[in-house]
Amino acid sequence: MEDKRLQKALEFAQDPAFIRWVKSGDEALGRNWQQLQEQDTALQPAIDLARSMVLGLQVREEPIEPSQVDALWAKIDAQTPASPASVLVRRLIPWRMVAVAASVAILLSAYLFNVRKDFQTAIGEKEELLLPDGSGVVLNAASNLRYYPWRWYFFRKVELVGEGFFEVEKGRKFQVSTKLGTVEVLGTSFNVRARNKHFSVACLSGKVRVSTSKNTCLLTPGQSTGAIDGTPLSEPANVEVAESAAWREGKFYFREASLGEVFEELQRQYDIRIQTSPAIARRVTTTYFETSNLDSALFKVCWPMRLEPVRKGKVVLIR
Amino acid sequence: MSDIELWNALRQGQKNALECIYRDHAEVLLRYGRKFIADGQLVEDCIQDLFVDLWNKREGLGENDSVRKYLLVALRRRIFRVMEREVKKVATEEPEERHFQADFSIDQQLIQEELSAEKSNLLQKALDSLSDRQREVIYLKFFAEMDYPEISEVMGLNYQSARNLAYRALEALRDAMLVLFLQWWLNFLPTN
Repeated sequence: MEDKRLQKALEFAQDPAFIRWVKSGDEALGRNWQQLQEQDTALQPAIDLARSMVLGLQVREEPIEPSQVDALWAKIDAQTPASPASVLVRRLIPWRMVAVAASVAILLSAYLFNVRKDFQTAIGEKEELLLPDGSGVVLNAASNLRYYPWRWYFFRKVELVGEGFFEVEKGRKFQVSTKLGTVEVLGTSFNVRARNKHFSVACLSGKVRVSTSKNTCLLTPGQSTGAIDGTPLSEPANVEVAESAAWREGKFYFREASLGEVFEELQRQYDIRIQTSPAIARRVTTTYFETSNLDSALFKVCWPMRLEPVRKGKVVLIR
Repeated sequence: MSDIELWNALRQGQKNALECIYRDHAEVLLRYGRKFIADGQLVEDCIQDLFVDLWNKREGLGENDSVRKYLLVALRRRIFRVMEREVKKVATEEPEERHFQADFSIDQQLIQEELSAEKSNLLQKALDSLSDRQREVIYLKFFAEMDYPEISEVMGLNYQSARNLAYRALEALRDAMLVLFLQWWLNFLPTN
């Protein structure tokens, strides 16, 4: 009998429902055992013993303060963002960042690709320029050279209005684009003239490919070609190519050129206005002038043609 | 709301559920953790990480029949991981066994004044003779109010082992209690 009750006590002490009842002191939870006691009064010692086991056993431990529980929650709370939306956003951020970065990169490169550099020379001005690859350009008066620095790595290309002398470093294709035609080289020196309707190219070294909307031709050193008012390019001809580029030293050579062309050059080198008749402008001449002195230049051009320049300030009348 | 309902609410991303679960079990977790590490701060860190992880992985959580069991298992694992790291830091020492250190005693109210010092010593000795694992199983039973299936999972034992372990421990406890109650108990002895 005794053994049985001791056994019972052990059984009760292991029953979670019994433990819950004893720990909570809730009468409702203890109805089962109350009934058992009533049925068999001999069970009471077993119940009491089990109860004393559950309640009597204590653990020496520091009490947990509610403030400690609160403080720990505050830490957890701070690290667990509440709204599901914020979680969603967090996931999206990398992609959004990537998209933003990509758009910025595209916009920036589109912008940079169109960044251009313009060099402009005024009348009577001459400018020496150095391009990013080390190629040099001497820009004649009243001319404009444009290039795109950020495209330079991909295309060596400049846009020219007017006249320029190019000394191109060896490397990839170098292109001079004008409204009248395009010049392509690999590494050479040449002169390009694209004035009004006159387009002419002289090759000093290397090989130069010249093309217009009409045709294409290849120049070797010492050769020159040109087109006037939309005509096809002339056959490459051996000329004194040094003369075409002599303007860099302030020397201007004209071979079988119209007086109109010469006058235009004079107007570009000296800030003057030349008035003359169309008949005179059409006359063909071979001449030369230097930019050191206007009167001397006018004399050199006019005297062989039996013309007389009359200077009135900035206006020169030629008859 | 029941534990299961709270758990499902947590899986659906309700922050309130996380707080409810925390508040329901924080004390048990804090107490239980401290039985393995004396450093209370370390226990708090483990619990903090546990709940932060719970929140971050809420969508991947499975169904759960006992939240307390889940939390205790997770905390136990975390604490052991931390302890292993600590042991490795002090490389000279042998890997220490995981001690569940619960200092058991008997409620003073139950101990009658006339209880002799001898009997009192006997009682304490009985309690002190409990092994660490026996202490843990009793602790989980009485103080975390868990059943055997839960206890076996928390302690990583099979059901029968957990039961046997508890049985022997409770037997020892009962016999120790009997020392206290012997006189009183004899009154109920059957007369036949």
